[in-house]
Amino acid sequence: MSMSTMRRTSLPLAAGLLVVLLTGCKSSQKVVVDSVDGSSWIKCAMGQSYVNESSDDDPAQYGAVTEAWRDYYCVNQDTGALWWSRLEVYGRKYNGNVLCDTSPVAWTSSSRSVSVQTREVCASGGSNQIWVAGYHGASRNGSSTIRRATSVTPEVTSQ
Amino acid sequence: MSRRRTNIAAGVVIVGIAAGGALAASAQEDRHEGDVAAAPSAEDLTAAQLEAIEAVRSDAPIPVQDVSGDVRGYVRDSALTARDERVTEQMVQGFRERHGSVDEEYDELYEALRILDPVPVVDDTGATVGYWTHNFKELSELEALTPDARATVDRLLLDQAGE
Repeated sequence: MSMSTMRRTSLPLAAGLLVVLLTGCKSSQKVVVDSVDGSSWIKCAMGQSYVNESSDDDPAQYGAVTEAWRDYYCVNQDTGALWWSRLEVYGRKYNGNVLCDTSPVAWTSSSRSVSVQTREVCASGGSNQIWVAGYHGASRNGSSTIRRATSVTPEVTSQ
Repeated sequence: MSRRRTNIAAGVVIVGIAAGGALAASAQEDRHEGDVAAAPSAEDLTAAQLEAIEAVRSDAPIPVQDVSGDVRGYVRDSALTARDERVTEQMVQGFRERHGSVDEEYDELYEALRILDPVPVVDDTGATVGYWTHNFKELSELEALTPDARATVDRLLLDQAGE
C-alpha cells in the first residue's frame, strides 16, 4: 500500500490532523531538526481529545526545503467524531524574539488536515535561534467563534 | 518511511478504538485535561521564545526584522491578527481553500491581499517606517508592489469567482 493510499484510507478514521512544517533557509542550507525529538509541535483543538501521535519523521529534503513532520490524532471528546466546520493554521517565524516571517492562514472546510509553511530566510549566515509559533483554529458549524491554540517548535539551527 | 507507515497505522487503530470511547479516558490521563492545545510549558521555552509569546499575549510591540536581519520597528499582534482575519475572510468568501502542503497560487493570492491591506511598522516614536505583509516591506517597496497585487487579486480571486 502506497503512502498516499495509506493516507486516504486512514483519513476517514482519523478524526483530525494538523501539521505545521518548519521550513526555511536557502537551498544549499540545512535545517537541523533533530532537536525536535521529544517535543510537542501541535496539540488538539478545543473540544478534542488527544489519542495518539506519530514519531518525528526523519528530515527529508524537497528542493529548497527541509521538512520534519509529526502527526497528531484527535477526536471529539463526546462522540469521537469530527465537529468542526472549518480548520485553520498559520505560523509565525522568529529569529530569537524578532519576528521574521508570517505564513498565510491556511484554512479548509472540506479536509481533515491543513498545513502551512514558512520559507523566509531569517538569518543569512546562520542562526541557532530560528523557531516557529504555530496557531491552530477550529470553528463549529453555524458559529462565528474560532477557537485558537498555540504550539511552539524548538529552536533550530540554520547554517 | 516504513516507520512512518507503522506509526500512522498504529494511530489509526488507536483513533478507531478511541472513537468507540474505549481509550479516550486513558489517553487524557497522559495529557493535560481536555488537550485544548495549551501553550507549551515555560520550562520548555528559551528566554527569547518566552519574550515573544508574552509580547503576543499582552499585545505589546513585537520587534520585526527586514530581509537583512536588521530590526526595523514594531507591530502589535492585534493588528497582525485583525488584518489576517480580514484577508482570510476574503479567501473564505471566494471559496479559495489551501490544497495540500504546497499551494503556491494560494500563497501568491494571500500575499497579494496582504499587500493591499498592509500593517504599518512603526519606530519608537510611532512613525511609520515600513509595512508588514508576510514580512517587512519598505515604504517605496510596498507602493511598487501594489499594482501587481491588484492584478493578482483580479486574476486569482475576483475573475474566478465570476466564472
